[in-house]
Amino acid sequence: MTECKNVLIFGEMDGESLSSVTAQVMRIGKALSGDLNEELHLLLLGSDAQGAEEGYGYGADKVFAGTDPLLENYLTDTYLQAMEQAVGELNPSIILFAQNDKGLDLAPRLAFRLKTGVALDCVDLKIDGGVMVTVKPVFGGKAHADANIAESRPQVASVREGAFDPADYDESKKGEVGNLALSIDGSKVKTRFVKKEKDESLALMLKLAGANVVVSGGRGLKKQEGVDLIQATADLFDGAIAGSRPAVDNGWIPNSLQIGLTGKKVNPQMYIAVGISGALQHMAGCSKSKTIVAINSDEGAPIFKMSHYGVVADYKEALEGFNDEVKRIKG
Amino acid sequence: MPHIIVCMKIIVDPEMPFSVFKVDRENLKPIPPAGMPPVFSTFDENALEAALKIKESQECKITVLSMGKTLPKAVLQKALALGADEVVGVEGPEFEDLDAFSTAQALSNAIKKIGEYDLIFTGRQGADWDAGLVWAGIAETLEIPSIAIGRKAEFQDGKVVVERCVSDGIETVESDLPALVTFSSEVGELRNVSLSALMKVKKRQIPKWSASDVDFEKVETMTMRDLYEPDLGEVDCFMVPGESPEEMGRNLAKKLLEEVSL
Repeated sequence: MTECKNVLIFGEMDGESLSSVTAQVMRIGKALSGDLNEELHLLLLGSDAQGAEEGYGYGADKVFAGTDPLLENYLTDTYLQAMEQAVGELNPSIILFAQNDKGLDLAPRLAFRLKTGVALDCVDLKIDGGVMVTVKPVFGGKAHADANIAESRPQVASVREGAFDPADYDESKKGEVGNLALSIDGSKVKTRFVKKEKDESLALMLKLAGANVVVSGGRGLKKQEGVDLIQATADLFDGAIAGSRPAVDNGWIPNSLQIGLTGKKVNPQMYIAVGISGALQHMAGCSKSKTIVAINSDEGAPIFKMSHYGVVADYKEALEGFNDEVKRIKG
Repeated sequence: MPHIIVCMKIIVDPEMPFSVFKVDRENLKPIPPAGMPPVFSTFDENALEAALKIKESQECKITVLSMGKTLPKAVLQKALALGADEVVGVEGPEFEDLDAFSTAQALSNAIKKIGEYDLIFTGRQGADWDAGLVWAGIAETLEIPSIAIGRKAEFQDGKVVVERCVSDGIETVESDLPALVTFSSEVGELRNVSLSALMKVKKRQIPKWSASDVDFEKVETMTMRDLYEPDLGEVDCFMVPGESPEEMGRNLAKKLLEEVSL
C-alpha cells in the first residue's frame, strides 16, 4: 500500500453552496494540512456535484465529487460504501467530518470498517510529531480528553459545529472538480429512505442559525406563556428564540431549537439566557456567544459565572421591564 | 416473536453536580465521587424506552445486555421491573477503561451468544465519555445496517421503520432485519418504575457472563494523552442593580444598548 497522505474532508452542500459546517471544517483542515505540509482535499458525494468547485474558494487544494443516483438521499449503507471506495482511491492520512447527523453516523462506521481509531465531536485538532491530536469534551463537558489514534491509519475525527469559524472565501480561486468513479452495490443496501418532513419550526430554525441575538428559555420559564415573552424580546432585536433541554422536554420549545451538547450550537453577538441554570451540557451550545446575559431567580445558578451581565430576579417582571425600556430607547 | 436486544451501560450518575467532579490527571480517569449512585446511561435509557413503547402495541421480547467492571443488581433489576423479559450481564475486572473497539467486540460476541435477534437498540453515546462509537462497532462487527438517532421505531411487515432526527426535520427510514438503531432524548425519558414491580423481580436470577465467555480481547485504537478540567471561560458578571425585577430589567436594557454593539 502506498503511504497515506493528505487531509480529506467529507463535504456537504446546502443547496448549491458549500454548507457552513463544511466551511468550518475546512478552516481546521487547512491548518492541519499546512502543518503536515500535505494537501487539503474536499470530497462531495451526492446524486450530482453542482457547486462543488466552490471548495477551491474555501482553500481546498483538490476537490473531488463522487456521484451516483443512489446517493440522492443520505443512507448509511450507500454513503459508507462510497466513502470506503473514496478512501481506497485517495488514501488520506486524516479524514474529517462535521459532527452533525451525517458525520456522527458515518465517521464511526467508516472508522470501524477501516479498522482504525476515531474521535467524535472534537473542539480542537492539532498536529504533534506528525500525528493528529484530538481534543474532545467528555462527561458532558466537565472534562476535556486529548488523544491520538494509536497505530492505525487513516486518522478519523468529527468536528463540533461552531468550534471553528468558516474558512475564508476567496472567489478568485478556482479549479477543476475531479470525478471519482463509484460503484455502489445496490444488493448491499438494506435500508431505504421513505420520506422527510421538514420541521414545523423550520422558519424559526433558519432564524436561529443566522441570528445576532438569541433569547433562550429554560426550566425557569415555568410555563408556555413564558415563550411569548422571550419571543417579544427576540423580536425587538430581530433575533431568534431557543431553549435548553428542560424547556424542550416540557414541550415549550420545539426540539429543533434546543441549544446544547446534543442540540444546536450558536454563537450570536448576544445570548440572553432566561431561567437557564447553566449546565455544561447547555453551555456547550452557546458559550462562544460574544455577550452572554443571564436572568435567573437563583443567584447561585452557575450561569452567572459564565455570563457578562446578570439579573437575579423573577424573569417575567424583569423581561417586561426590559422590553418596555428597549422600546422606549429605540423609539 | 420479534426480539430486541437493548445495550445499556451502567455509569456514575451523569447528573452529578460539577463541584463533585474531579479528574485524576495522572491516571487519565475521573475520580468516582463518593455517594453518587450508579445508573443506566441516559441515552441507553431512551433506547430501553423506545423498546418498551414497541412492546405496548406489538408483541416482542426485550433482552437488556449490560457490560462492565461491576454491574449492581439493583440497577439491572430496574430493567426487568420496567418490562424487559431478560437481562444479561457481562461482568469482570477486564472491563474497566475500555476502548470502544474492545467494547464493541465483546458486546458483539455477547449478542451472538444470546442468539437470534431482530433489532439492537443502543443510546447515541455513553453519558460518561460521550464517545458515540460502540454502536457503530457492533453494527460493523455483526455486519448489519444501522440507523442513527431514532426518536421512534416500530416493526412493519418484517422490517423496522424508524423516524430519525436530522438537523432540519425528521426522516423516516426503513431497514431489513436484523438492524441496529441508536436513540437520543427525543424518545422521551424512561418511564418510572413502581415499587411493587421492583418487588416482583427481586428474586429473579440475572445470568452473568465473564470476559472469557465473550472471548474478550483488549485492543487499543486510541491513546489518551491528557484528561483535564477545561477552562470554562469564567467571566466577571456585572450584576444589574435595581429595587424591583422590573427596574432591574430596565437597567439591563439601558446597559446593554449602551455597551453591546449589535
